[in-house]
Amino acid sequence: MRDLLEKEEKAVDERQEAVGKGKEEKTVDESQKVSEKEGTLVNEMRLCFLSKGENESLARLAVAGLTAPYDPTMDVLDDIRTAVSEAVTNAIIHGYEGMEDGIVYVSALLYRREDQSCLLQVDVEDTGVGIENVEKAMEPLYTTAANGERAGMGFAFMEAFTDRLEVKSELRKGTCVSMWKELTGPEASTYEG
Amino acid sequence: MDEQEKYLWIRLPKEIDHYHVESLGRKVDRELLQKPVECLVFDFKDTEFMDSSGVGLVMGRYRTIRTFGGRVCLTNESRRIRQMFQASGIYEFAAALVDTENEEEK
Repeated sequence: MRDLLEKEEKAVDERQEAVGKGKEEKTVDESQKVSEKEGTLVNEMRLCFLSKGENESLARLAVAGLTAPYDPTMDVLDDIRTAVSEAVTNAIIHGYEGMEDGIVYVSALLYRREDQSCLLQVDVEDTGVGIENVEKAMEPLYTTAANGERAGMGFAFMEAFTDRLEVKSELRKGTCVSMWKELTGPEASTYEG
Repeated sequence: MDEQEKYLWIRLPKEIDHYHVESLGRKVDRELLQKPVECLVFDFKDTEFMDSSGVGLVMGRYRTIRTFGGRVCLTNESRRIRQMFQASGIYEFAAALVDTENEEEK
């Protein structure tokens, strides 16, 4: 446990450092721009856990649970669960390459707009190996897993089951996947590909 | 159905994610190597959640059974699971077994 805390502190320090190195301006701009469109923040959750496979279900249950009071449809809930599961699985098996001592950060933000519609933002972050070519990694059926057990559909499903997906990655620094999902949209996303 | 045919019926778990199917894939492969199986059936009756690891599981087993000339069938998939398999092109090599009695409920 102490290891975990120390690691987290270190990671937070590193991130703050990164922010200090000129990224701050950009972050502020972006958040101001986004909050107008996204509405008021009504709930927020931050979760960090070891990169063990058994935590995949914890992550998707937690995010789905956070949205529950905002009456998402079953389809929307399923979309959220699947997308979170894909992102967390990627962090564990690709970001940390199956090593179980990495830490996966999941944050979920809930916004409500004036018209009462709600938007969920989920960020899944790791400080693992990073992705060399994000565009290529996001192609359907592309996988770096050698054993043929992975379908290469992770990003395709994240894209299909959310309304917006953003992936930021840096080699040897890690990857951050951000996803946005309307909770009270007309209909849940369906995959048409 | 021909009684001579050798089936291997896999009743999949409630939750299909990377963690839950990792060992299942290896177990099925071992089984396929030991006994001749002509038709491998994945039964999604109990499955309430699936992510892309379910697609990987079926694709991986297809690669194994293909070398022996066997085939893969899927049954009792929910609408959502079927959607995911369709998107991944699974039905190009795996047939959907349709249970006519229950079809209307789905």
